[in-house]
Parts: sequence; structure tokens; C-alpha cells
Amino acid sequence: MKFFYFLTGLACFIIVAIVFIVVGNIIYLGSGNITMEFLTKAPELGMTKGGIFPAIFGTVALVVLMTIAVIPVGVLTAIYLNEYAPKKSKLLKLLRIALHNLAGVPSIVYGLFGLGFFVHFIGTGIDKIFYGGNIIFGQPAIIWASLTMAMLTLPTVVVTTEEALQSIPDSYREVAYSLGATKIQMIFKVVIPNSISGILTGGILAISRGAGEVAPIMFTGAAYYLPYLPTRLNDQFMELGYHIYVMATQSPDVEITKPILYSTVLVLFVLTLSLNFIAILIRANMRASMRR
Amino acid sequence: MENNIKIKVKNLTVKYNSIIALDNINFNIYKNKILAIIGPAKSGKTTFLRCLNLLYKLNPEIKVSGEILFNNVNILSDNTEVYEIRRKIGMVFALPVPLPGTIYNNLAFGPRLKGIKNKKELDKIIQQSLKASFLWDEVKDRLNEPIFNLSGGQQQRLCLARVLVLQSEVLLLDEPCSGLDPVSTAKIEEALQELKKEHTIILVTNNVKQAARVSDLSAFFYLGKLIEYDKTSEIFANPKNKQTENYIMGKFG
Amino acid sequence: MKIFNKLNLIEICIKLTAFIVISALILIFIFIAKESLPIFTSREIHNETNLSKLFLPQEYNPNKGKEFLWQPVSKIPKYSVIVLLLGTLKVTFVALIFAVPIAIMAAIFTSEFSSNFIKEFIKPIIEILAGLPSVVLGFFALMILATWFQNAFGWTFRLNAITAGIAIGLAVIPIVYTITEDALNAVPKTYRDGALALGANKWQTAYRIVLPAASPGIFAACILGLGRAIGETMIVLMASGNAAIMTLDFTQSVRTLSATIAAELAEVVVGSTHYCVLFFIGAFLFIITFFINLLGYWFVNRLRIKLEGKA
Repeated sequence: MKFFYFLTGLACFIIVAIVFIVVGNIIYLGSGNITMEFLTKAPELGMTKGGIFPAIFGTVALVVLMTIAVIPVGVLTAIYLNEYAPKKSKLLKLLRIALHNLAGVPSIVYGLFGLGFFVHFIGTGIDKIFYGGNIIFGQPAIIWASLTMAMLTLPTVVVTTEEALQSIPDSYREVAYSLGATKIQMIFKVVIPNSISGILTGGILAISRGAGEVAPIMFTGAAYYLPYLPTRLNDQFMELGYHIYVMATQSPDVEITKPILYSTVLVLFVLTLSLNFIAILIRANMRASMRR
Repeated sequence: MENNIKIKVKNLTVKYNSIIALDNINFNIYKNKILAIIGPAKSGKTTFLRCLNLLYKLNPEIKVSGEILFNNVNILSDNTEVYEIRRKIGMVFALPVPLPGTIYNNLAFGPRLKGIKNKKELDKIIQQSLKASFLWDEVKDRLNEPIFNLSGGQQQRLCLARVLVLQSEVLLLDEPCSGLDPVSTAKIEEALQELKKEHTIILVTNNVKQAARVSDLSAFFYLGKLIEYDKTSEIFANPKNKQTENYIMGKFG
Repeated sequence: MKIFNKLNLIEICIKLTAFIVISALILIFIFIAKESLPIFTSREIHNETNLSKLFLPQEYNPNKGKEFLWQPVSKIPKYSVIVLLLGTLKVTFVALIFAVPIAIMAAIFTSEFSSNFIKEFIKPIIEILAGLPSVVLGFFALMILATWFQNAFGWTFRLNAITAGIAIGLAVIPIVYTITEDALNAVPKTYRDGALALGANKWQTAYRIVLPAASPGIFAACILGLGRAIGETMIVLMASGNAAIMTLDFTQSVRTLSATIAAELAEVVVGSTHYCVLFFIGAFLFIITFFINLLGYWFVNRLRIKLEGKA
């Protein structure tokens, strides 16, 4: 038995070692360049100097737009599924299964959908109707990228919110009703306030994914170098993950851009790590208060 | 006794899937009296209570027919203002269900739903209700503490107070003392005796002795039917039905 | 009456939102499939490629006989999906061979052997690994891993199936670990107590009692890991070399289904054969990963039924 103890323990050790190596490299390679300047200035001289502020701005803008789209819609859908939909319906069971599995569909497929549907179909449609054929929205734009991201994270938000709602015992609902509450009052004054941690966790995980995924935005709005910040919905934008991808694979002078590349990776890493950390904190807080 | 009738139950039948939970129940519930509903499990006692405060509507598979006249108005009709009825006919459940939050917020929940926001008014009715459920002295300095700090008995009295804040006319209690120690039980029974002066009380209980202690009238339900209904003193001294006698004597149930 | 209108309005909003969302999600597949439909319906596209051309070997050069080629941008466009499928399979194979044993064994260790302290330490580590965006893993593979491997093994191509596969494995480890650990935790304590009381040691208990009991869950973990590996895009784009070659040599560059879409979608003309084929690949990926996930969750459910005896 000692052998298996050692073997399985070794597996654990390997994983820990790998994580330390990866994270260690990211921090070690990237930290040299992280200055206030780096974070607040725009890139210069074809990415060989300057900072990555536009990429940070673009990432934040993308995530904010995505969150505005996905959280209300996802939460309302979960409310419908858990509080209104008939419990025994076979259709609903199928829908839930479909929803669960949509979370596992590759992000590039969402990118494909985003390009074909949002950019080409909806975008050109809008152009035809409102802009007489000029290409205003029928091209990659931050609005389409955010909507594509929103679709990517929607299944996750719906599933986690639904689980949070399900964890509220029915007795709470009955008590609310017996005190004269309407269904809406019951949902918004009892169920939601008591499941808010679960809902927030799902939301933050979605946000973290939105900040880290690149495939959905490659064709729907992200660009490598832009002289402006995205201020209108049909602007393109720079984004941290996309920047890393292009810099790593297509940079003309790899040696000079390496420091910037490493530091950008570190910034993205810290960003997603913080978001995940916040989600973990919320979950831990929730468990602690449940233990009463 | 006619103008003393608070609730008139007429031909009440409740079906759930293919099971008949209540079979043609007919009787009157009188004002300012404590009615005990006794009977073994699955007799329809809780189902009956849930018809009175229209909580059965939460379950779409339940089919109800007949009439329940509350203050001479049939509450089973489609025109009823369900939420008003639930405030007028309040319910305390078997296990205390404290809503997470402070003691004050639990009590203020009902009135706030109705739109009452004035703090002075809320304070007043909350204090009255806590006094009426014999809880005021124990919590008057702790109103902003989380409700989980209270013991089981205190929580149940709090649930009672929570209903009283609504100034309900009828109180439905579904085995309210089932998880409580004798001291808490006694306190609740004492509270009920006081409360019947202003309210009509219907108490479902599995504890026959409690029914004998507390109630003025008793109704014996068995397998969905109302077997016997009389003054408590009469039922316990001279049960007219053999099944009633057997149950009261503890021969089954 | 005013109250009724307000109530109903909110409820209508809720129901409408749910309806739109559910339709939108169904729409994804329908739309993607629709864009690939011309392969079957349009005469001219049908000439360039069709179902058999996509999947069966074609003879382009009489000297070479039938072969699988993916060269959409050449005088005679060649669209063999098989080349890409092989690429995906190679990379997935490496990822799973690497990740699955490690993840499962680590989960066994934390769940059956280790102290609570180690468990609480490993959890955040796994969460950090899970939280790494795939573009960061791709970067790591491209910049660091590839160089190590080339220095260690002397491969001709530093970006190949193995490099990409290992990096994907890093992304798969947290998934397999978490689901396996959940499955092992779901086995009731009574099972273990019973075995220990009969004199078994921890490994015997784990091997003979707990693992078999949790096996549907462990199987599900592998399946869900597989789903993740098949769909992974960024890592492959950055670390696999992106060469559509038909070979069983793992040290050569590869091109996977997902990377193909990502790499070629930018320059494709809307409505062209190439466009339709890319959407076809997208639909193909969608179906595969959807059903793999379905299978995975079916096994998780079986585990639940097995351990809880639910009908």
C-alpha cells in the first residue's frame, strides 16, 4: 500500500509543481516590465515600446458590456426555470440538459456564430435598414464581441443561478406566501436575497471567462493595433488575450517584443486570478454562513 | 349561534392525483374559540388548513371543490384576493421557519409587503405582537440580532408573532409544538388562551392531550373524512363514534 | 387592477426573457448548420466539395493515388476533414494520456489518503490552474515548453502534437480532478468504514470499494475532459505548428479542427465554399462536444443513482 500512497502522492506533487512552474515563470518573466507607465500608456513604435493601456481598457469595456447583457438575462431565465416552469415537464428536463451541455461547446464555435450571425446577419441588416447600405455595424465591433461573449457565458450564469435558487428550501417560499406575499414579492424579497452569493459566484466566474477567452472575439471585434480607444458601440478594440496571441505568433521582431509580451501575460493572469479569487471568497463566505 | 360563525365549510372535497385527501367536509368554525383538529397522519388535517389560507394553490395538481365562507364570502371562488386572505388567515408551520435576517426584519416582513413603511407604526405593532406571544421580555433588547440566535421555542413564538403582526382574524397552527420542549409548549399554549379573545384559532395537533388542554371545540378527522365534531369536553368524555373513542384512547394513530 | 397589471408585466418580462434566451441558444446550432448547408444544396459548391469529398480520400494527383489533403487555398482546393480530425485526435490523445492518470491519482490521494491540511492546500492550486486562460497556457507552451522539449528531445519541430497536447493536458487536469474528487466524495463514509472495520488498509479500501463505487463519476470526468480537449482552440493555435499533415508521427506539427476555424476564418469570403466548409467543421465540433458532454452528464447521473438509489 505504501507504493500506491507514494504514487498517488507523487501525482499530486507533480500537479503542484507544474502550477508553481507555470505561475512562477509568468511572474518571473513578466514582472520586470510592470510599471505605472506600462499600464497607462499606449503602445508605441509597432509594439516595441510603450504600454498596453488600450488593451486593458478594451478588455474592461468588453467585460462590462458583456456583463450588462448576460447577468440580468441569465438571472431572469434561471428565475423562470426554477420558479415558474412546471416541475414535471419533460420539455424542461431536456432544456436543462441542453443548457448544461452548451457550456461545454468550444469557444471557437461561439466565435463562428458571432461572426456569421451578429456581424454578417444582424450587422448588415442594421446597415441596410438604418444606414442605407453603408458599413457601420456590418463589421467587427465591440458590441458584437460583447454579445458573442455573453452567449458564451450565458449557459454558465443560468446554471449556477438556478442551482443557487434551488438551494433555497421551499419552506421559505411557503412562509412568504402565508404572510401575504405575491409570487414576485416572494422571489425578489426572499429567494433572491438569500441566494445572492450563489448568483454572484456565477456572475464572477462568467466575468473571469469573459476576460480570458480569445476565440470568440478574434473575428467579432478584437484588433491588434488601434490608434484610438473604443468609444462607440461599433468601434473595434484592443484586448489583452488577443494581444498576447498576436504578439506571440505574429510579431515581426520577437526578441524586442518579448518583454512586452511577458508583461501582458502577467497582467492578464493577475486580472483573471483576482476575479476567481473574489468568487472563491464569496463561496467561502456563503458556506460559513450556511453552517449555522 | 349563527352570527358567531367565522368560517363555514360546505361540501369541501380535495383531490390530489387520484387520491381523495378530503371527502365532503361540512362544519362551522366559531369566532373567538380554539378549535383543535385531531386525527392520525394522512387524515387530511394539514390539507384542510392549507385550504383555509389558500396555500393549496401552490400545487397545481390539487383540485378543490366546495365552498369556504369566511365572513360570509366564499374564498374558494376565482375572484378572491388571495393575498388579502392569507393576511387575514395567518399560518404558523410545524417547524419554525425563520427567514434569514434580524428578529426585527422577520417581524416587519409581512407588513412591509403590504406597504407599511413607517418605523413608528412598525415598532408599535411589532411590540404588541411580541407581547402577545409572550416573547417581548426575552427579545426586547435584541431586536437587531440575527434570528438564528434564538432557541427553537423562541423561534416558534417568533413565527407566531410574525403572523400576529399582520393582525390576522384567524390563526392556523399546524402542529406548532411538535419539536418543542414542554416549557416552550406551555408558553405557546398560554399565548393561545390569551389570543382567542381577539382571534379565532384553529390548531392541528397530533397530541391528543394538548387538544384536551387547550381547545374549546374538537374535530376528529380520519382518512379525509370528518368523523366527529363537538365541544372538547363532550368528545373526550363521551365520544359518540367508535373510531373517535379508539383514537382518543390511543388504540391507534 | 393597477396591482394586477404591474405584477403581470414583470412576470411577462421574465417569461419572455427566458423564451428568448432558450431560443437563442438553440439558434446557435441551427445558424451554424444553416451556413454550411450550401455544401449539400448549392450546385456550384457541390462541385468543389461534398460529403464524400470531405471525408473520403480523393485522388488529386494520379501519381500519388488517393490521399487526404487539406489545402483550401490552392488552385484546386482540397477539403479533407479527415486530416484535421486526425490532428484533433492526436493532440487529444496526448492531452488525455498525460492528464487523466495524473488527475485521477491526485484526486485519489487527496480524497483517500491525505490529511485535511493537504486537501485545503491542493484545492486553491487546482483552482489557479483551472483559472488560467487558454491563451496563457498557449503562450507558456509556445515560449517555454516548446524550447524545453526541443532541448531535451531534439525534435525537428518545436511546435507539434506533443507540445500542444501537454499544454491542453494542463487545462484538462483541473476538470478531471474536480469531477473525480466529487465522485469519490460522493461515496458515503459508511462504505469506507465498513471496509476498514474488516481490516482493510486505505489503499485496499480505495481500490476495492471506493473506486468501483465511484467509477461512473470517474468515467464521466474522463469524458468531460475529452470534451474540453477536443474543443480547445487557443493552445493549439499557438503551440501546434498549424500544419495540416496526414501522419502518425506525433513530433510533427498538426492542425486541428478548432484551430482551422480560428486560423482561416479571417480571410474567407462570405458564402464561398471555404466559408461553408468552416461552418461545417463548426457544426461538426458542436455536435461532437455536445454529445460527449451529454454522455458525461449521463454518467454523473448514473453515479448519483447508484449511490443514492434514486429512481
